[in-house]
Amino acid sequence: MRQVRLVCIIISLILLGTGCSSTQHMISEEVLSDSVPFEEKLSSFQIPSVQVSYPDVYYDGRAWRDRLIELVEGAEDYLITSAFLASSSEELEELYSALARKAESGVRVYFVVDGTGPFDMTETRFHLIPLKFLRESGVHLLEFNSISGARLVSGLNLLYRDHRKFLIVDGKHVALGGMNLNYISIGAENEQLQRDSMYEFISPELSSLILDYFVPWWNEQTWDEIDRDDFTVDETSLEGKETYQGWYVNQEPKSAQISKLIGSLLSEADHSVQVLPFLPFMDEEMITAFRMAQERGVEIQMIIPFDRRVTNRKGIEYMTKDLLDMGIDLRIEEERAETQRLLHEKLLIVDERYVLIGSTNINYRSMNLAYENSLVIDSPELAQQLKLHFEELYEGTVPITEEMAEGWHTLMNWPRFITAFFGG
Amino acid sequence: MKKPTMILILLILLLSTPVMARSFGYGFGYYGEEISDGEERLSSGMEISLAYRPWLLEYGNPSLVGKVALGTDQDKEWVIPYLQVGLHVDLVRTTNHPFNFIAHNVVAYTPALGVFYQFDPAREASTFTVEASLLKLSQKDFWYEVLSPFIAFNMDKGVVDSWGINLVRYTYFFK
Repeated sequence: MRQVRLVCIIISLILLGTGCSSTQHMISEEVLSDSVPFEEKLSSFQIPSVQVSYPDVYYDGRAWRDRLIELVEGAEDYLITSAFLASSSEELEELYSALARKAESGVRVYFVVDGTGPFDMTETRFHLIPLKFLRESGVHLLEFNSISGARLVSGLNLLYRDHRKFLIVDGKHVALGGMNLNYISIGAENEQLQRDSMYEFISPELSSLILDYFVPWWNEQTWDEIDRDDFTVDETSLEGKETYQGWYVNQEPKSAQISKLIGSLLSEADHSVQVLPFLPFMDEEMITAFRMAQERGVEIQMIIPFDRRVTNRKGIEYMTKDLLDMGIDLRIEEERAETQRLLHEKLLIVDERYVLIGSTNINYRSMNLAYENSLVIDSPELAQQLKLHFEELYEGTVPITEEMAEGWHTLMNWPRFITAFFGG
Repeated sequence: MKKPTMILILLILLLSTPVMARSFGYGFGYYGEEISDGEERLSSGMEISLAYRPWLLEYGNPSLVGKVALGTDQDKEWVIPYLQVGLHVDLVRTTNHPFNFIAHNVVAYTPALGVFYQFDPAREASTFTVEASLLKLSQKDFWYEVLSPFIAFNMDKGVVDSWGINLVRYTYFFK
């Protein structure tokens, strides 16, 4: 009887959770409308446009770490960074020492890490040095929505996490992408180093936008308040450079901004879409959005990473039966030496023209329960570059068949699926 | 102060303030109470509270707080020993204190005093209660209170009606 009651409670929570999903906006009338141009749609959703430079793209976490150290050492006025998971380790000592030195020299350093950081259950846990020591050097460190016994009182609000990854240096250099600031993202030397991407731009407009979101948000979290006027941007930094149109979303949980953005991109698609979702735990609306695009004749390719963590992998495999309803070219990476390094990258390419990058996984959690930041860039050149990267990844995949999905859809895997659906 | 006047002041305070992010909160605590006026009764249990905090003033920051306690008495009978509504004032807010080590983020020391209209539904007794939260730490989204004593006065008789202590109370302010 008790077990039945528990199952009923879980099902009720799931229905409650999915019933309020923001992903309904992915297939809403306003998103699917043919008569409204893409730019106008985004404008009507209060998704601002920005001009950005062509980005430097980093696929190697250690190369990004070295570039980060350069950027930190070059900072003159302020540096703001945010990461879902961040911790030091032997391999990251140089980076965090550079941050500490900068703060000691008078540069204002603001560092946000999500409250799950200390509970990092990846390989990082064996190399994890908490970042509290940075405070001694004057780094303004904020742990978002910390997890502690007392804070259990906040109940389901603990589900809301800050998944954003970004960096701003002196209102000039901006970086977005999927890399965290921990051992497996930018520190490890071996197969533990994740495959991921970071994009570095020059863009005063993007810097300004991120600051406009960041300052009030920061002040809402801490007594250590800051003033937007104290953060200037270098308006001249893009002069003489070729610029590209972009649209930036800073999503708060329940705001539906990312759902509208991705829904609009899929609705805009005319012939091709390539997707790296990372953890593809999608609800019915998300699946429908992809299926509708596919039914319009858009060729959609999606690569699901091979995840050597058994629990995650089994959860993802369970999900594939539903994902096949999209009717798309759904692939999964083969298990081999290269794929032992987890593909943590998030990417969406539309019609070899629009590129979506940032922290957002294409899944339920990112759409509903997380702070995320994403940027769409209208650049055929960048789309072409990233498509080549996608094609390289595609080479090492196999199609997911009905038989495979059926075999994975077992009751034993359901708990792994449901845990990852809300928590992944 | 008469009840209608107090309610009027509280209403004006509520209606005249803009609702900022994280103005409303709920809390859970653990109380112990002894009724000393008349037959002595002891009870302890959970306290549930609601809070409305319109401002974040550094000195004298007021909040409206309502509480209900639910516990068991010395005969293991369920009781609702008090319902309270009143004003909770943070006397001062400072981040310069020795308790920062216990929190993940910067936490402010905000000792507070509360004055409440209290009603005991079982005895149908109305009293005036004063509470001291001298060990109170605050973040923008949380209050952490430990060992907060309170004392209730029977204004008609001019005697102490009851007294007690809240061992711990956590209040969360949501968006």
